[in-house]
Amino acid sequence: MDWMQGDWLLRGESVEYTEKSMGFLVAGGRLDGQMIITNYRLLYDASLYHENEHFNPIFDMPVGLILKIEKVGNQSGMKRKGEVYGIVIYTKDNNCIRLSCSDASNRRKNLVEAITNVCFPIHKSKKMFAFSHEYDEDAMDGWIFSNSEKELKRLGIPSSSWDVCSLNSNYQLASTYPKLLVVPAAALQSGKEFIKKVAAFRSKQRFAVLSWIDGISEAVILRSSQPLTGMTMKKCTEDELYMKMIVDCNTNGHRMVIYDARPSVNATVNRAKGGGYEMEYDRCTLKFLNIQNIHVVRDSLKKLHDALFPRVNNKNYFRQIEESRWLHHIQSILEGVSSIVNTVENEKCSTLIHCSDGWDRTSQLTSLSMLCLDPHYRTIEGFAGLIEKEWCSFGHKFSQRCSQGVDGSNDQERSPIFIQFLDCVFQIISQFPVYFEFTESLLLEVANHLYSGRFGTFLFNSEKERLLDNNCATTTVSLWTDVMRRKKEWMNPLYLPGTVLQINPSHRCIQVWISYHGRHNDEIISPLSSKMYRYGLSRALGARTLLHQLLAKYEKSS
Amino acid sequence: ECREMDSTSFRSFVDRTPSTTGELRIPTIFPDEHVSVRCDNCRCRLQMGKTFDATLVSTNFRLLVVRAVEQQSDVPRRMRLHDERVSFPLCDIFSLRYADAAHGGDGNGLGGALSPFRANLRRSKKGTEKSTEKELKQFKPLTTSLSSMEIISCLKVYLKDMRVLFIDLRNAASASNLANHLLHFSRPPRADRLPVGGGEERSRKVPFTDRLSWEEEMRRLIPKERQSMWRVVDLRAETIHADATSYPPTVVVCAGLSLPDVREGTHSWEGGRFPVWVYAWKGTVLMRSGLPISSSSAAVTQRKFEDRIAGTHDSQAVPHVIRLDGQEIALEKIGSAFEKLHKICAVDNSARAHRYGKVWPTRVAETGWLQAVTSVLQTAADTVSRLVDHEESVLLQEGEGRDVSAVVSSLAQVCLDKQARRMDGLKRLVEKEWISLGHPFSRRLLSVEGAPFCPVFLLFLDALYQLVEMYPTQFEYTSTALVALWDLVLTGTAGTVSCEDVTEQMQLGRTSSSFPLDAHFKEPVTLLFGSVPFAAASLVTRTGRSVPMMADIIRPPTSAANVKLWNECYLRWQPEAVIKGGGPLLSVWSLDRVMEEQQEEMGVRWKMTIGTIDHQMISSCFPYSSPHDDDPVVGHSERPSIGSITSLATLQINRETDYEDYGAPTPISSPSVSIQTPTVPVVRYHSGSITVSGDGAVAALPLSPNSMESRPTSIPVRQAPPVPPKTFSRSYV
Repeated sequence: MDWMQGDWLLRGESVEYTEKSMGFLVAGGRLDGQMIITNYRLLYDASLYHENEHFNPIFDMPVGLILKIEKVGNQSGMKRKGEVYGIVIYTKDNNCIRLSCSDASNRRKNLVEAITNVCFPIHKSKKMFAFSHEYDEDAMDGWIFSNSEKELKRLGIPSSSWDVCSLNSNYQLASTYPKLLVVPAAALQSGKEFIKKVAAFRSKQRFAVLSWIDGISEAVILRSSQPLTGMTMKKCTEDELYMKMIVDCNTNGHRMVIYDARPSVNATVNRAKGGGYEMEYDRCTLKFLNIQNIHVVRDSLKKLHDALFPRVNNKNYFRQIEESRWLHHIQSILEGVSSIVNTVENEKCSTLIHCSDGWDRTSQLTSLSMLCLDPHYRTIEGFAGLIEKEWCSFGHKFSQRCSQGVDGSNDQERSPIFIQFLDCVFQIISQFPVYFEFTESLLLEVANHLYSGRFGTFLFNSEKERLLDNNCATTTVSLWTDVMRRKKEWMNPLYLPGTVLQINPSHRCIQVWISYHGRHNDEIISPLSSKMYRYGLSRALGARTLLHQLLAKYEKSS
Repeated sequence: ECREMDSTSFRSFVDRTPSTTGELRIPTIFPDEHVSVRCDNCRCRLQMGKTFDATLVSTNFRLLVVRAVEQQSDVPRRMRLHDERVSFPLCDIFSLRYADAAHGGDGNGLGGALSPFRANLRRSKKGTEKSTEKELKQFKPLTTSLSSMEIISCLKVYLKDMRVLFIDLRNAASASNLANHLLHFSRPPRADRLPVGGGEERSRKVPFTDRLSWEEEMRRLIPKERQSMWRVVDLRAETIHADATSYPPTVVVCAGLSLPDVREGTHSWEGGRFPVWVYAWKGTVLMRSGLPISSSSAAVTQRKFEDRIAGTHDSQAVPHVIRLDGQEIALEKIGSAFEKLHKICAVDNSARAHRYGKVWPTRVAETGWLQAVTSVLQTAADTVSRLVDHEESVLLQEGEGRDVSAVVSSLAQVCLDKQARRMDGLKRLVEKEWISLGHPFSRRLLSVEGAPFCPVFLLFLDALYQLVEMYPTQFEYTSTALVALWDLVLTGTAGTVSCEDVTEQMQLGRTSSSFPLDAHFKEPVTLLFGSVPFAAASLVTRTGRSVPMMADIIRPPTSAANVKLWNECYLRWQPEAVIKGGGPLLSVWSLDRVMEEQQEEMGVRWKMTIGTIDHQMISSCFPYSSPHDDDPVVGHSERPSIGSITSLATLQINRETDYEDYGAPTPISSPSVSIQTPTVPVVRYHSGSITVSGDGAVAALPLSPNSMESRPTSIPVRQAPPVPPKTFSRSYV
């Protein structure tokens, strides 16, 4: 049995526990085997009784994916009625694994303890696996993508109207914001106090800063959190003046469009909590995009997965998909993106995008709009930079949204916002496949490592926590190090740079991303499904193999 | 000259003289075609395009729209026989709706029923909510002919290919005449009233009706040592055919059955359709039959058939019977699913299209069409699995064995037989399973005798599309070719796919084939029939330096999650479904380009299929329609869900009225939303072309001397149409 040789272990990975007599329960029976628990993954190996078979894990999943573990059955029940005695593992992507255990005393207790220890290290005040993982020294360091100086240079900043503000160099102004903030040069000239007042008027000091600028028209995309207008509709002259400065930066547009991602009802409700929206700003238009919040999205994805797993009910499938409302949420985001792109590209107007705190829906909208507007972000490097900038540095709360290292099964802050973003990228790729340097496979890889805990990229809640408090850039490996190293796997040989993508946000062009959401269901055909592998059809599905072959030839020639 | 860009070569049929009488010369393209009705001073609109002035001319076979002002079209002409952009075969009409005079006379130009959207705008001003509903209800279905006293103002012609032609007839003289004419001729009493097109091979033999082609098929499929177990029976020579008229004159049965047995068989299965052999996979066979009749004498015969079939099998196992009488795939269900699908896809009103868009997944789910597609794919998967994995023979049983069994049997063969994934294999498959074994095309698809429309053949094409989409490198043809085949069948001009069965075909001499498709369609569309991924994959595999990519057996999906709506077929006329500057064609073109670039490294010769394309004009609905700029895709400007903050107070009211009534969500009237007036011109999608470049371009089939089209004889318009029968009241789905 070659698992003993351990050549599948990652650097820094070590076997913590093994349990020999286990049963993996599948429809119509059980597969006997053993469970191997390392500090990174759970492995189930069914080759135990087949000496000459190759090491063939039934499942191999990072422990970060585990949402919760439950014990089922008790010893007396098993003896009396033949009930299952074992554990059920629920994962964050709604897979559900049932295992039976040996009923010998303490075997199950020890097993559960071993899994819990590696799954939820934070409870035991231990560190995540990412801090033990190492990578080849000579590999290109993916953390360079978190450095935004290069990106700002590419965008032509500082320019005559935009400049870098150093007030947040120690994260003292807005702790969830990145170090480098781009503001109108005019605002800098008005002094520190002015900017502090502007920031104070926004929730968590997340005031409007630049995300992207159109090199030709000077139309910009800005992001912020909600203004703190409250029930009394408080006004802030500094904030209004600041907005005026932003409008003046763009010589083409005479006005600015403020996109509030929330439904207008939610925005009104937020006023009671001290938040609010921009009322009667000079030369600004406010629009609501009707995108639902994290709780709705979480419940929606749960329903979608229930329609796809464990089995699809062919008769009711389409109704169930509809009832999950997942596609409606995707559609509302894409519709928002489509109007932002239209505003920036066709009307040459600057836009400000915000929701409540400006780290969930706002990140989705800004990053997707930039993906459509700027071909740079559709390259592999550009995409990595986009995620680093709009998600990691601007403080999407990865740790809470993915409940990393803790048992967050009842945590209301848990929500698949980033998965929803990747789903939207998938929709855009399927509308314009040739304008992306990468294929869907990169999205699947990123989605896997969102939960895996192998890399430091998605750890913690903000740039400050990640880079300053925990020094991830030196103590962990970046996801992009691995992605760039395996670049060939994601490349799209049909790639064309292209220009601005005018996506169609209609429901008619939106589909369920089955290669991700349906990947645990064996009946659903996708290039990676094990059923197709058994039939020897993996290569015949889609054009994936063909593209890889072309790529191999291409590399040889160039 | 066939390589010439087609979109510029559009000419209307008008041979105009400057006089005000406006004599039109209509070239006839079918024998026996004559102009029956002419309607001057009409205003027309196709889907959501621009409204234009036109003269409508209808012959006994088709409706022609002759524009008053010639206009260059953005899309290339596709069909060889006639210009499908302005000429509509009457048997392609799905339904007619009309508005009568009481409502049409709005007085001020394009009012009333003409544009519900405008009506809605007015409504929001006047605040008369009910008027929209009333205005739309005035479009009544036209099922019986109108009396000559009735004056109709508008007519909507819904086509089976999901197009909608809107005709404003208020200034036209013979409006009710036209309506009656269209109604009457869209439901021909017999197949011989259908047009005959593609006249070249009129006396051609129909394949799989003679001993030879069946024997050839057996030799191809059955292992040599087993060939003696099956034999071809000439039903006509043995005078059995009279009891099984829907079968071809020759079929293949078990060699162990005597002729009297076969004769008995015709009385033991519905429609006289005893089990016949259609396909063999190694030791197992695939058979089709009608449902067994339950009677004691029939049971004996059925038993005998079963035993003999089991005898051909090594294990002596009786064939596995798959009965196709499930809920999802009952014929009525297919018909009503299509009708619902038609309702949401054939829309000529952007407000309504937008309203459907909001609840699109629900609407699609409600049609039940995708469920039917899933069901046939699942059954095909079961069939494949029985034959291959369980090594059992399979017998498909169904009503009269002429509809869904053809779908399942064809799909199973596509999966098992590499040949069926080639263009000529598809031809063979359609000839064998559909034409020879008697799918009643004329009744199901061409409304002959006013039969309800039941597109079983479309169900097959749709399921096949799902496979093509899933395994793009395994099929020589593309989904564009399947769309073309569907359009061709709907014209009723391809003889073999327009009859009740082979017997009728031969009686009427309607034997012209629908294949090869290239003979019926023009370039650039024909360039899109061959799959570039298939060509590339087979070429790369052939270099020997690559992993093999071609599969022998492919497996159909069994889960509804793998089935999606065939947008290319159903939504190709809908601006809301268009992806401007994107879509699958661009990937195909890009693959073509990459292969061209790399051919030397690979040591192969690649023939470019598509030369250069105009990026600006490419869209996901390319050869069919062009995105209209004058009617922008709802998405940017008309957005009822996004209101400015000033309209927050009125949001409640809008919500109630917007979604429930028929009409448009009130277009945003708030002045702060000035997004509709861009300060910088939007990129226009002007017309362009696909041109063929390079010597290695796929050689187009030489234009067959299709003299009909350019036949110089033209006939003057006769003003006296035949009076349609007044008591025409057959139900029309």
